[in-house]
Amino acid sequence: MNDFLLVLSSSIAGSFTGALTGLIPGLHTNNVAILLLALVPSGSYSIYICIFIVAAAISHTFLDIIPSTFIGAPEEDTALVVLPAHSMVLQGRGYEAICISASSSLTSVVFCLALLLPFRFLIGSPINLYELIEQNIPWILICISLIVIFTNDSIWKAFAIFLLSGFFGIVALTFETSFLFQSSPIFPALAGLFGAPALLYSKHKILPKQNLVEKTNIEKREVSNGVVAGSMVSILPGVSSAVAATLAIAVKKKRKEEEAISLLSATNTANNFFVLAMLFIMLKARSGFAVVIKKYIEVEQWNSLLFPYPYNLFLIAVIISSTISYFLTKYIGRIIAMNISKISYSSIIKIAFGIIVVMIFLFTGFLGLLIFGIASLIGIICLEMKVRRSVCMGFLLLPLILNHINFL
Amino acid sequence: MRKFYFLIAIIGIIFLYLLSFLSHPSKVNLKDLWKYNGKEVIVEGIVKNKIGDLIEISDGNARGKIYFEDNEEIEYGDLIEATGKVGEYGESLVIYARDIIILKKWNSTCISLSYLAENFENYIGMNVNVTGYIYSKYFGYFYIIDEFGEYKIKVYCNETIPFEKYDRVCVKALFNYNPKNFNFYLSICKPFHEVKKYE
Repeated sequence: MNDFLLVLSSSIAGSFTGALTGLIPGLHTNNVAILLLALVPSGSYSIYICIFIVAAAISHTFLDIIPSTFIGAPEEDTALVVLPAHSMVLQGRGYEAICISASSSLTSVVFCLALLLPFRFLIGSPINLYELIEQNIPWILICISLIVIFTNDSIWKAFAIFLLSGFFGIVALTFETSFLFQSSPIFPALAGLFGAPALLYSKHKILPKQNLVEKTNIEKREVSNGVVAGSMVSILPGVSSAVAATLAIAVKKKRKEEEAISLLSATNTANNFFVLAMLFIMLKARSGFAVVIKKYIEVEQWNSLLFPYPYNLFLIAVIISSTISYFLTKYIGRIIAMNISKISYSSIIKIAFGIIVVMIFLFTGFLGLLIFGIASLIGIICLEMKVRRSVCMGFLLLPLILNHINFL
Repeated sequence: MRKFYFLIAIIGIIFLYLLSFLSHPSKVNLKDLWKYNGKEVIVEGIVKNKIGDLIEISDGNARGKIYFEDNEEIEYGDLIEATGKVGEYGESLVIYARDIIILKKWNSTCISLSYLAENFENYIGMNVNVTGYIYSKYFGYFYIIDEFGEYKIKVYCNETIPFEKYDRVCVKALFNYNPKNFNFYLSICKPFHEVKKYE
């Protein structure tokens, strides 16, 4: 009984911590996990710390839609969702965007649970797809890049933006930008590529009153596409969920805003879910939080049909956390949606811009602000040239490809 | 206006590129590490030892330690390049790496048993990918020899191998020395170790 209460309380505490990190642009669950590792030595309670971290990692993927939607401040996971979600805010459908995202993330957890056993047999023994995929990462990334470029009306313009973003990524990613907090150049770059241009180019003067009617009819097909993309990327070393989102969004040329939000939210949650699964199937830590879990506990490989200990407890934490986060996302989203139209849109833009700039400065200092400036220009060029914004993901894709073929 | 933005973006990237030269750490030899305490450096070497977050590398002249948490992809015998700040760890200096690139995996090149025997000091304590011919096999171990029968080494493995005498094989294993009987041996002790027929 005591054990059950500890699992429950760790999951709840983790969910609220993940909610907090999700709401603060730039802050990631990985920061919290690394901080925990530095402050709390491993011991008999390590398992509960890990449950806390798992719950926080899942919860973060639910809540990070809120700053992306209302202030257009993206993280690596949510860079592409900024555009459809923020445009729904401008139509007075911000709360609907939040509800769609929360429902899609929750549904994706259900899909992930259903696909967990097939995933285990596909990646691990007897099929052992992992090795094949690992050997072909550069080709997979090249294919994703080609899809991203060729799904544009003007291929040459898209190619030019892809190269510009790519070269920018090659240069920017060499910098160590941690300032007051541990951070990477990815945050200011993606805020510039995806967040700032959307705010600067908004022609709306007044933010319409947000409709608070709950609409949660999500496209299950988009959720399942997101789950597949999220699971694929969790396998690839050095490839982040942003690439999963790029892959998922690029496959289809035109999508409704609701569909895009569904797809990207599901991708984001599924990615963290399968990162955890990969830790037990292949003993590979594909994210900061998984690395910390591996430091705290002895991970036993999942070789049989039954879930190994403590993966079974982690799955309980995932279920608890996603349920809490679903309601929390809708609750916080509703409060913000109710009040946001009371403020003039120009003030919201100024506040949003101010928050992004302050966060970038706190995490990455003056160098981060410089990266943010250049990234914003590239984002604006992309808007001016009417090229799909996912092309800007060349920022991550080109350095990754060159890295995998040992060119960098 | 679009051209103007494009130009400014390119100038910005070039500026950032030039800035990266100013802030880019220099590549140093491991024997000179003490001169760079508190500074960012790049080092290169072969992984000789790995305990928890600490990786020990050798560049042929000296050994150095690297502290890197996300080190699960790195294996004994890999050629790596680490970038990070030199700092103190207990009584010795280590590189607190922020980035490690695997330049060459230990199993990317296959060496013959005679080459291993003649250059054993470079491979001791490392994963090796060595070719040889099955000489004899027993439960829990087998022997391989080189093509002239000049060198012979014992290979420990948990399973009985499905090969016949004089089959040419590729053994991926840990190369080590047993001081009790003055013998070198290979040990198949990790999930990525294996014996395969040479093709």
